[in-house]
Amino acid sequence: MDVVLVEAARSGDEEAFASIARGSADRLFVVAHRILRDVGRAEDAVQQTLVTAWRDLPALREADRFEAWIHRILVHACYAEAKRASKWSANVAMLPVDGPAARDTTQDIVTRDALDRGFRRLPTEQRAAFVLHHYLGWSVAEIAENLGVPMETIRSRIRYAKSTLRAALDADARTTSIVSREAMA
Amino acid sequence: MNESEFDLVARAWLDDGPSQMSDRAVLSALEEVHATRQRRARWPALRAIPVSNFARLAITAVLGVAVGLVATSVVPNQPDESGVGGPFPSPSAAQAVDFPDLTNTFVSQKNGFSIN
Repeated sequence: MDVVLVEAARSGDEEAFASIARGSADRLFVVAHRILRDVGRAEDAVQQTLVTAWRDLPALREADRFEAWIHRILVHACYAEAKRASKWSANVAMLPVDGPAARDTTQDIVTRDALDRGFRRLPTEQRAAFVLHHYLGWSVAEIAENLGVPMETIRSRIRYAKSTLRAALDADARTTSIVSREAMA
Repeated sequence: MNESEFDLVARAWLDDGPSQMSDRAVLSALEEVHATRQRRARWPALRAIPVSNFARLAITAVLGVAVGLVATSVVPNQPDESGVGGPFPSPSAAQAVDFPDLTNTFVSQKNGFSIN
């Protein structure tokens, strides 16, 4: 991120902020989508993030910490969006917007569906920690520092998320093997 | 599935999905930004001054000593001997009660007895 642009935006330069927003929107959107698993909600979360970032930018002390700072805002926007979603559509199953790619094998689809199901069962805090760690590649210490949460909490969120996803994959593998045995019999 | 296999599968699954936010959504966000005022930082002047950790520690120590000195000079010294609650009230002379003179003989006409 261009520190000069951040400093200009911090001083109230709206054009500079628009430039930052255009450059960051896709990256933020991908993270929000991976956490929320819904395009519309991810876009809402990013919009909210950009508005909050603009409003609170003068409070950012170090311009070079902008990336971590805006991701923190994004994660909190995702929490809020997930809360709103659970209020209004608790029983609506969200379907993936992008259909399976043509290169997928049946096993890929089964695995992805299992991961999708497992992931939707996770609390948003665990989803966020998992995505930041496994998608953005942040270390536990980085996540803890950037989100302002103790390291042990982050470690435990990632551990629970992984065990839920592994359990979903294992359950799916068991079901697949039973179906295969029945088909062979 | 071992740990590293799981990590690979999870990573591939996370990579899969939309990677671009719609222009409409970005424009909408920028319109909202345009209508939003920035919050001014509460302590912009202090934040603008770069201060080393040593200087911060020194300032904190000086402030601590100053507060201590002010506290000891402002709080009045308590007298040593009095203890809690201040001096006890001095006993006042009990008001004299007007007892009947017991040297006389009491005679109850109604009940027909007398007490010496």
